[in-house]
Amino acid sequence: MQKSKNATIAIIFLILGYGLFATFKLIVKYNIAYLYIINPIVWSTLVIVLRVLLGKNTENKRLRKPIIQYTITASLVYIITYMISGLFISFGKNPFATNLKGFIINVWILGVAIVAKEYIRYKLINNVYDKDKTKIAVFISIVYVIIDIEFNRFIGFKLTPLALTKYSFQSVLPSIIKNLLFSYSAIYCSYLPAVIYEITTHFYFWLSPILPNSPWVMTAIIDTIIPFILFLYIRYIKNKLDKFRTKENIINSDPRQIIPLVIVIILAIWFAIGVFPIKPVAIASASMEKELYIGDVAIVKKCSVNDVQVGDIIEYQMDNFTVIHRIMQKSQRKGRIYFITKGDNNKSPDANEVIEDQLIGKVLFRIRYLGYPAIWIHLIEVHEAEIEGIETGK
Amino acid sequence: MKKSKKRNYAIIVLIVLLLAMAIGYAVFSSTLTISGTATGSTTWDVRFTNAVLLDASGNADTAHGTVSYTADTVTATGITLSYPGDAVNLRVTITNAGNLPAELTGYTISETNGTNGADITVTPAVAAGTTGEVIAANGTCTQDFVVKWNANSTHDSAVKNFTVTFTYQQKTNEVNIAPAHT
Repeated sequence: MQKSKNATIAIIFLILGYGLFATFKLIVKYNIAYLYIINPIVWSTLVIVLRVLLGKNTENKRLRKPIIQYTITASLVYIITYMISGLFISFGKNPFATNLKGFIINVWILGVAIVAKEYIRYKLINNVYDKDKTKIAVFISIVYVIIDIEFNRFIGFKLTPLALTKYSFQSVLPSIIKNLLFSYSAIYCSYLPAVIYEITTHFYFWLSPILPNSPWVMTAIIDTIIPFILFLYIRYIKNKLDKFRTKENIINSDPRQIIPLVIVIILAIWFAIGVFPIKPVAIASASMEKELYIGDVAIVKKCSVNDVQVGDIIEYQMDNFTVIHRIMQKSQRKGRIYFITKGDNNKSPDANEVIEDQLIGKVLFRIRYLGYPAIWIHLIEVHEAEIEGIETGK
Repeated sequence: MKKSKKRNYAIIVLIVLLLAMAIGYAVFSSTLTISGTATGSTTWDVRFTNAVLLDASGNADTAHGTVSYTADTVTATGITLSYPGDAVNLRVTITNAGNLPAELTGYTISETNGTNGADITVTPAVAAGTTGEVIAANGTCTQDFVVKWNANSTHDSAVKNFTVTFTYQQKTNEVNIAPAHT
């Protein structure tokens, strides 16, 4: 079949229509049939139809091997990064069914669509002439991002600015980066790098008995940065093997220049969310004035009960929040350590004793004003009852 | 050394590292901190979407304490009952906002006793996992927790604080079994 831009655009619109229809309640209402029958068959059928109608495509063999190597490396780094993050935070049981039956089911209900989408992307991008490939690549990326957005998650739920921000960074931004990456590799290589990356990373989630309890910030960072760096590497190798590129152009596209900066940014964000033994905590109440003011950042060192004494300022865990107050008394009963704590600005000690299990760490020093952005975000969510609890340690 | 060989060696090193981690998990799994259902996957979104205290008539009860909730934790604070034998119900709503069916496998109730709080017990009306509570995609499920002051208590008052969390896993054989909730 001859290349056709109009036919390609029509098929992309068809995919968009199906994706939106599938996302909203029209099909979600019949979720079992959609998951097990409709969705895998629709994608498989489209693959077969395109394969029959459009035939085989010629791949760039020079780029294929290095791109696949980089992709395998990136997917392994992705998995290892996730696993290491769990060592710092904690692990939870994998909600996916990780037995053999569950794995086979997930390959069918999820894996078929993942692989099919990448094959279809490749076929459609290469069903137009070179001058239109970039436009089609961008168009199909936009459509796939729209399909990836699970609009049904917001139907019936209160869409707060914070929830929208979280979802944008955790799901939408990574989807944009990945789709641009996969479209780029479809233009210059084939569908294989996309399939390898998606299948390898998804297999980890479908097979591992445990997964890290990653905060949304960490998920957003890993899911965005790694595909982005892979995109830079693929672009670099493509420029390097392009005999028409200048040396300067090749050097400027070398991703190794930005990797140190990216690592620093990631480490800074991990420090901010408390992955390391020393962490920042924003002060949200006036209970510790004039030592700590609202908006200050207290640098807390995680420690045990043996490292703190009367007079130290400690951070301890309550049900849904943490409290930073000074130790007034330290005692031991039946082999366990108990603290009586008080905010410097409070008239009386905290209502309940602090048990040793609640101790998080000791405040080392403070940084003025740095905590305001965190407080503004937190105040969107917190109820007034919690603020009162923080003040009195209840 | 050719770039291609270097990349192959890098891949081999990463695979070895991955296998070492997998072996490390198998050896040290008993000492790893594994709690609850992991929150690392963006596919899943099962969360608390409501929590309310109810009196014996099923009406909202604000006199016996306060209840708040986040996506994964319900917190009941200052639950104070009127007399030994008195009880209130904590009704929570769990919603599956993801696209895969989820089966509730357990609840964890963490208690912090206030004054004479040990005389107050908190028990789920139906223990998750015993009836295979399944929440379909975009479905909800309500669960009651009975908060009761021991009828044999000799104290004049009792105060309880507690939190509730839940665990869940993917339900794979719901093709044949109708979900308990929709």
